[in-house]
Amino acid sequence: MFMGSLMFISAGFLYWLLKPPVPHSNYMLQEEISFPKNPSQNSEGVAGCLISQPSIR
Amino acid sequence: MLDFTTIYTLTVFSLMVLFLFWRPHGINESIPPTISALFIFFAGIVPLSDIFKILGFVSGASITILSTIVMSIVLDSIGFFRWAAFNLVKRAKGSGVMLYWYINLLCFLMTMFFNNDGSILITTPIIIQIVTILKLKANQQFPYLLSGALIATASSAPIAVSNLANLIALKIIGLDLNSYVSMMFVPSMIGIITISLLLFYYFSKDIPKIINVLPVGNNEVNNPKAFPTILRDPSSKKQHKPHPQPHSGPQSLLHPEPHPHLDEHPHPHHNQHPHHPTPPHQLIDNIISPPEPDMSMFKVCIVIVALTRAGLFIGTSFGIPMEWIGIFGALLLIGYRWYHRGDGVNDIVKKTPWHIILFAFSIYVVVYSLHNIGLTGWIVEQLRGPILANHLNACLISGGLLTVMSNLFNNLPSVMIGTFTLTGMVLDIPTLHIAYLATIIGADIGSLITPMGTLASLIWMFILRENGIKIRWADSVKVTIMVIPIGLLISLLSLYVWVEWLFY
Repeated sequence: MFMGSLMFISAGFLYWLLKPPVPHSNYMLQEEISFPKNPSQNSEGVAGCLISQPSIR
Repeated sequence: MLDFTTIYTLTVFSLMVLFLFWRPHGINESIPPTISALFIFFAGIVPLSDIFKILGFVSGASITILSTIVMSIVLDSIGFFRWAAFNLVKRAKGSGVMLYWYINLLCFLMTMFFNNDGSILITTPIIIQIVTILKLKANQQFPYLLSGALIATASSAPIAVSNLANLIALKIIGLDLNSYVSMMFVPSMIGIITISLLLFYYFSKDIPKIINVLPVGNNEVNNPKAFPTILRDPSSKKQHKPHPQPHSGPQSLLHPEPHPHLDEHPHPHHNQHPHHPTPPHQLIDNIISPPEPDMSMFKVCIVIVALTRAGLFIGTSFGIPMEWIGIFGALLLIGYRWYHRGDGVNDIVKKTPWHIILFAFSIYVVVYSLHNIGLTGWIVEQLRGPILANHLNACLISGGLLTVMSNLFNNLPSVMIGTFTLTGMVLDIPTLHIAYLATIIGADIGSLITPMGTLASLIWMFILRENGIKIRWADSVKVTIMVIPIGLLISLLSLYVWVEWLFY
């Protein structure tokens, strides 16, 4: 029983360790590419642009 | 006066140990024991009846290891290791120190859930993927690889089912699984934590403070379309492979040569002062393109592995041999993969380290010959008095004896000799139990000084070689000789205090 519980707990921790981590919104400068959903709405005629923006100002 | 048989056996044994440590021209570690076993067998020191007995001992261990190897190969082929490596790197959030502890934790938990051999087979490829993804320099890879292997193997001490050596002895001594855990968990955990801390201290200059980070957030990473080609290095496209080998050829970790993959773009932050850290660099190039495992197949395979593991306990309580449950699980995985992807068993036959099975069998034959010429009786005669003197003696002598034997001729046959010795001493129950538990600590933790000490360490060396990572035995022993004896002594003293305080 004791040993089974230990293994069950180990399996739980393993799942936590290996599952994809949840992203943090305020972690660091996020570089992201933004594309207009509809290229025709892009008045400047640029397909995409690189925007660097801090999450916390 | 020694007779001819004794001198012959001791000579063969001594030569085997000499060649195992020397390994001229880097010969495979299974060759010296195999030749020695043939000499022993043809001299009639271990008769055919004993050979069948040894086959009985070794076959269970071998089949269980083989079934785990099959699981490992199938998990690799569906991309599990790469997926796990990516998630661990992301979890570390740019800290090499956090990554060290996460890897240690992973190896510990994997051994608790599987066993030491299974853990090595699963965690080593994950760690190799991690150091490859992070493009770590050769000397930075070594702490992660070695500490992972040592913790995975040492972690087989807390619960009996994590190591086949524990199970062999458990049956003979007559302790049940729960009593074993209640007596062993705390002392062996103290030893494991000690080893982990000592390794961290030893490698503190090699473990990078800052490592590259991957973008956190699974949706972005698992969707290659989230990374437009504008950010990718066009030249790296040619280098990308679905399951890249980290090295193009053998490379010594502690004597690094220029490596095209690892040293091409050394990370500028690695050598910076720890008090002035700069934000970690985000990896977004195509060399580390995110894993895309077949999730439906992935889930089914993980469920089969978990059910097989659970089946080992349920099945053994109904008298079904553990190895047959392992085989059933492995066949199920192979069958499912064949049905889903049409892959046969060629890769499994090619990737399985058959020589390690040969090593286990041969060395058992040689050690059995020592038993036949009276080694067990001699040890009983020499050590019965000191062991009976007090429990502290019983603890330290048994643990020390198994440590020496395991490092000379592997822990599986050593546990057999150790157990025969303890039962031959006709000890009272408390002394027998404490001496047996110390024996297990010696076999699981003390045996880590040389790679020959456990089959798991040999499997670890094999996996590294297969991936082009060359670690010499001397490189490994240089570290283990400083760390393991301290961990062993602390474990044995903790066992003495814990068992004396709570049980006797």
